[in-house]
Amino acid sequence: MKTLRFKHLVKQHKNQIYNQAYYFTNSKEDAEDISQEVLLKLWHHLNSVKSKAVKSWLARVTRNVCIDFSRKKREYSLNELGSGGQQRMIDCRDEAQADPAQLVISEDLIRQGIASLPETLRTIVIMREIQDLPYALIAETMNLPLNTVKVYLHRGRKLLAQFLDEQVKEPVFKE
Amino acid sequence: MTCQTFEQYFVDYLEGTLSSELMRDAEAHLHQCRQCRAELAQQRNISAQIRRLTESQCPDRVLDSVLIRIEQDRQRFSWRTRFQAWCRAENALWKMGTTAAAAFLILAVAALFYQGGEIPSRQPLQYSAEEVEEARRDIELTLAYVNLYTQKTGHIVEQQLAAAHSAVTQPVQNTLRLQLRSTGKAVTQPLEENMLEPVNSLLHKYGGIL
Repeated sequence: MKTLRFKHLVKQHKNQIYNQAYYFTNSKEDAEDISQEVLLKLWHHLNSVKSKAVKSWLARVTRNVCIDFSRKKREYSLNELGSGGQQRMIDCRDEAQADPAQLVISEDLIRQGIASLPETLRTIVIMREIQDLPYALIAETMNLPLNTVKVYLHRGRKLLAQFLDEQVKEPVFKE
Repeated sequence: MTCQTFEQYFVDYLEGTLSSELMRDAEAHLHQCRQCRAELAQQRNISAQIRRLTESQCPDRVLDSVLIRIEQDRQRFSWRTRFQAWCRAENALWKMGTTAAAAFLILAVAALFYQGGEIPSRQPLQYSAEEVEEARRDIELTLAYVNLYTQKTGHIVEQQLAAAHSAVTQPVQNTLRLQLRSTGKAVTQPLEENMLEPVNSLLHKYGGIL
């Protein structure tokens, strides 16, 4: 019965865990290791985690494991392109050079930028912008007031914009 | 509204969740603050581009690895594995020592219970036969409902499982532990795992109860 429940929860939440770890570390290999660690913790605490609280519990544990993992690895190089190392353009516009607000940036660069954010801002940006989790859940996971989460999201986006402005030299990429 | 104040409402403004009064103040501020207007446009763009990042699928090998580790941990800590390791132990002196210690312990416990040539009778069970019977019915009804629901819907109904566990009160749990102990099974795992075998046999016996 325990194994059945565990497999059901894993099926429901494994992508949430994996993507949170992947965007935190910008590495698919690290994301797999972190996901394994989180799932093992879920197994060992299965009897004490209430069904309604599983999502926030997993988000919190994933964040903690990501932080521990990254501290052990010391730092994530801004020069890493992540697994594959391929640059893919989302869009390409010549006029982007004139107006920074319209700048369109490669996916890898955005992932690097997210991975470069301070841990708290990084987690909030991932949970809101990529995983589209509600603010209430993020606030509960991070143990922060709701308004603080929104302010941190704003700051995270701002820092990311500054990072990308500094990194982008040639906005035009041809496939 | 100042730039500092507007920062607190930035996200709500972008998402259109401000009250009408605050929305008016925010728009009045934006009308006269070029910096905040530029920042707003920049944040809209950044947010849109982040949201284009696609979610990746967690590889199946992650769960496979986890299940293998869980099984390895189970085997490592099982009594059988420990006993086999003890049998394989090369240190004969250690084996003799542990055997002697175990024998001494058994004799010491027997001496405590042995009184003047008479073997004392076993302590009676905590619950009467009627209480045991009532407890058995509680367990079988609650878990039979859960199993039937699961079979019919194909869902693992977590709320019902939680309700079933909470319906199994402490006296019932104690009774089940006593029943299991009488069969010689070790109660080392969480209660719900040990329920499977006796419950399944009870369900087989009382199948028509629902």
